[in-house]
Amino acid sequence: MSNQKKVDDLENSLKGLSKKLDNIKAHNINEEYNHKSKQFSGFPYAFKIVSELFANILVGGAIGWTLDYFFNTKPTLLIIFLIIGFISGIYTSYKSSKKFAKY
Amino acid sequence: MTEKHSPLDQFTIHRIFEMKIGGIDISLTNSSLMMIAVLIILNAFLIYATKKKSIVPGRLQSLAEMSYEMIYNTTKDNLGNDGKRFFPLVYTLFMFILLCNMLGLIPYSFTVTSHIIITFALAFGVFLLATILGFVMHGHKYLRLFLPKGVPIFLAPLLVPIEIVSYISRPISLAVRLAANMMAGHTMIKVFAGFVVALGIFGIAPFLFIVLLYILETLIAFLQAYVFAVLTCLYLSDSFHPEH
Repeated sequence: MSNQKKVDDLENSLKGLSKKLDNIKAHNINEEYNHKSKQFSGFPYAFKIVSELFANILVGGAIGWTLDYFFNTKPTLLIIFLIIGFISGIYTSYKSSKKFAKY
Repeated sequence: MTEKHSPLDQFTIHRIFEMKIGGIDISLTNSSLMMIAVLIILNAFLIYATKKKSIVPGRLQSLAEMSYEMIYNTTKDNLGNDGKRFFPLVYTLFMFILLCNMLGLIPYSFTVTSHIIITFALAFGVFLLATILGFVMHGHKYLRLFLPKGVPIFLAPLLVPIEIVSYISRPISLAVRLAANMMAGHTMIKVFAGFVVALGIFGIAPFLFIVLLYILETLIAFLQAYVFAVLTCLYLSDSFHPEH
């Protein structure tokens, strides 16, 4: 009788201990992850957004100028594609920042 | 040609050893010399650092292991277990750019990555790989990238050009970011160095500023290499999962 009780007690305390251990492990992993992600992870996204704004306008202008050159429609396509470049710059950086918000 | 004391003089390329094969100029320039030096130093460092393979790493070994682990984790986080096979590519790109940036900070040396054509070649390689990989893995469904699911069809004429421009601008933005950061930093240091000479005894103020600027530049040299590696992972992961 008393032996059975002892075994039960031991098992209970074992369960409690493993639960505590799990909690500590989960806490540590969280801590590590938070610490790691805080260190640098913001920088790449910041640089990405800034340069995307710039590069999209550049590419839009380049495409427009090239098409103009081939179709001989001097400024029309350049203007249209520059505007598309502006829009896509804003759109891309909006998408990137939405991705970043998840972290 | 720029003047000898111009802040942009450090970026001029001059031939060290003239060579021509079949009308193609393959002379050894200061830029290519610097790249060869980077490759030799990189290989020597990694081979020497990992020669001992001790369990408790020494300084060099832990440096090599740290860089390896950092890029390994970045690759795993962004590409998942599938993308581990691209780790060698990302690591090579990171170490090459990092060393080019760092060696460029040594006085009288040359910053390879300040030239946009070099960074563009690197970025375009990544872009080409990501595009081919996307088509190999998803076939014609990869074109879904330009028109995400759930978009009304009347928006397509507007959205498709936007997405195409945004897709093409990826290598440009990668290249421009790295080159512009390196060039701006080096030009700024040179300009302030000019102030030191011009101000005479009061030149101590810009001189102290240069010291601080050098610390910042070292950080940026590292950060830009890291950014390049992370964005390489991001673009490759886009060709893995074009829907997101």
